[in-house]
Amino acid sequence: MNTLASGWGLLAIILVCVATVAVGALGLRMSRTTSDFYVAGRVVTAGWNASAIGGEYLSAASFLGVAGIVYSLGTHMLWLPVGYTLGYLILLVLVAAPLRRSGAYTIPDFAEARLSSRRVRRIASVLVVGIGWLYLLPQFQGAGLALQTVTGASPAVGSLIVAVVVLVSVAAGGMRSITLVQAMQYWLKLAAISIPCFVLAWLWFRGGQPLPSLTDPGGPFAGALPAYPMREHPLYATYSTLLALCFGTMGLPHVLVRFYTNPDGPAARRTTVIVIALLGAFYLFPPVLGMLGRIYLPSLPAGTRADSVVLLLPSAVTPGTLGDLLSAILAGGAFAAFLSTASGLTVSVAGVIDQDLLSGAMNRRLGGDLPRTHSFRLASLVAILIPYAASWLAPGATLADTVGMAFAIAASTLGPLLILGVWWRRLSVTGAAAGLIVGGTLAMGATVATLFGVGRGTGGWIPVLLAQPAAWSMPIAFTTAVLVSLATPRSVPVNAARAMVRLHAPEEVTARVRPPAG
Amino acid sequence: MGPAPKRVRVVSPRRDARRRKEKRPDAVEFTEQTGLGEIYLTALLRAQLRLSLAILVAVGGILVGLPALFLLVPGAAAATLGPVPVIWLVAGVAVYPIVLLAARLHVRMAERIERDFTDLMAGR
Repeated sequence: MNTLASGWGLLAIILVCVATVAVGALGLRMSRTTSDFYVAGRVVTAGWNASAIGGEYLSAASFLGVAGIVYSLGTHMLWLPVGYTLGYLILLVLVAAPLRRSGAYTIPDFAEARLSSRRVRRIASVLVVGIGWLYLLPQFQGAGLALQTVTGASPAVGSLIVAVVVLVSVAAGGMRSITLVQAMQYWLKLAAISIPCFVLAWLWFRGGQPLPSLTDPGGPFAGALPAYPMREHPLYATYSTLLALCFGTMGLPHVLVRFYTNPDGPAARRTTVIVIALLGAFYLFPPVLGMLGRIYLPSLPAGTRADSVVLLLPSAVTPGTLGDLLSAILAGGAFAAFLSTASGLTVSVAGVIDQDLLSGAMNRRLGGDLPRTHSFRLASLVAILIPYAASWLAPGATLADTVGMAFAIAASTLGPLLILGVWWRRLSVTGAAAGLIVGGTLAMGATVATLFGVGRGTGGWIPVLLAQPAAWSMPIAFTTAVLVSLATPRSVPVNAARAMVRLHAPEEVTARVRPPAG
Repeated sequence: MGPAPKRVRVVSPRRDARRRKEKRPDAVEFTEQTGLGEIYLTALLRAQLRLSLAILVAVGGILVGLPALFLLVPGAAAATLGPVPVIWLVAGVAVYPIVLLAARLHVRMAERIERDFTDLMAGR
């Protein structure tokens, strides 16, 4: 790429970073207390909140990964963005309103409120931090990739920029500024992907390249490109991935936090509907870019990951200033994606580290003199440093795959905990703990095995089952939790009925009804 | 000189502010104290769960069916409408409004169930 092009790209990335910090600083001036710091003082309207959820959710995997995977593996991967959206439908129908009514800020809070157990709380905390870190990893890698594609800088620079900008905006502004930043990022991302998409599709329509001639019986867009071997057992992989996305979304660390900023249960539901509309609108575009990639970039330069097809496409369609400009817009949008998802994850992971690990230890040592906001800032540093370091060590799985593993672990642990906790009165403390431990061990074991390449290249079922564990690990986790709960009725919490009323009774009832007089 | 004034303990009026409970203990107590609350709660839970499962089964049916159709029937994946592949129209475009409609339907029904429950509890 020439110098002028990299200049545009760099300018776009710098603009996104400056805007993020500036809006964050604006929020800082408005946030005064610890409550503001954590949950935006609960004054966020449904539209803002939904934009913020969308902004936070659309990560590197969505902005670059979806197009990359449709480009390399073909149109049957279109189910991936559908799954990303469906996760919110499942969240809506199964847990949205009850979770808000539980008053929990994090999943560990919910575990303790529902089961009155410090032990389950601690297991949930460890899982939240683990899933958050696994999800942060590809954000750093994606940022490195984007900066490298646009400017040729070493991947380490891009990850470092994201780490620093996120740390500054999170540690300085807390949740209130983050809500503003995230809401802005959604619209930024939608513009940054839709405008280039419209322009490129129009250029093609006006009489560009003919359709590629691939030998696949499914036509030019189905089937994998020669450079990317088709995965074995695609039907199993599709179903398992869909299951992970559907039931993993509710268990992601940065999702529940956003529901706390709704004033009540019905508002949480309406926010979720808006989120589904916003995500659907966004996901119209990445697959189109992936398919255009097949037309204009029949093969990528050696050593280039399929994830970068979005950034390379404009120059392939229209070399020159227009192509450079569109590349720059896409690079800016991709950076917005890394920043927003990484910020959201950092806030949630830092919240859990702060509440469950740091605060206690610090208070013991310092006699409770440390202001809450200081320990939150320290926690943010821990929350971001570890995945940043890991992004140097981890071997390069594709962005969508790494994110998929985080979903699979969430779907096998926190998903079942939330669903059973919301709907099943007889869930016992022991049962919940057993489900978390069994599901977590299986899904994390499969993830580690996949990252280290167990069974890779041997073909057959083993690598497929390990790469997409949700289809077996989630049912096992559910079954374990149910069977152990039935076997240990005495560890059902005594206030289970009370907790269930709190979760399900409408707010008007709980605020107004008096016990019958006389 | 009369008896010394009684000692008065002075505390900050805001001391209990943090510990104030969410303002809805009444229904919770109501549910605990009367067996009736238990029955109402079970009915509410069942109605909501039935609604949620109905939505899940409907959407789940589409989800299980379509990938199988496109992967197992080679002609389906190859079908095009002009230059546009049909699989993209279905899985890339049409599916999103359907999911959105299902979500809106769920919210409307769930709020109706809650309204009925509220009316019941208020004795109207």
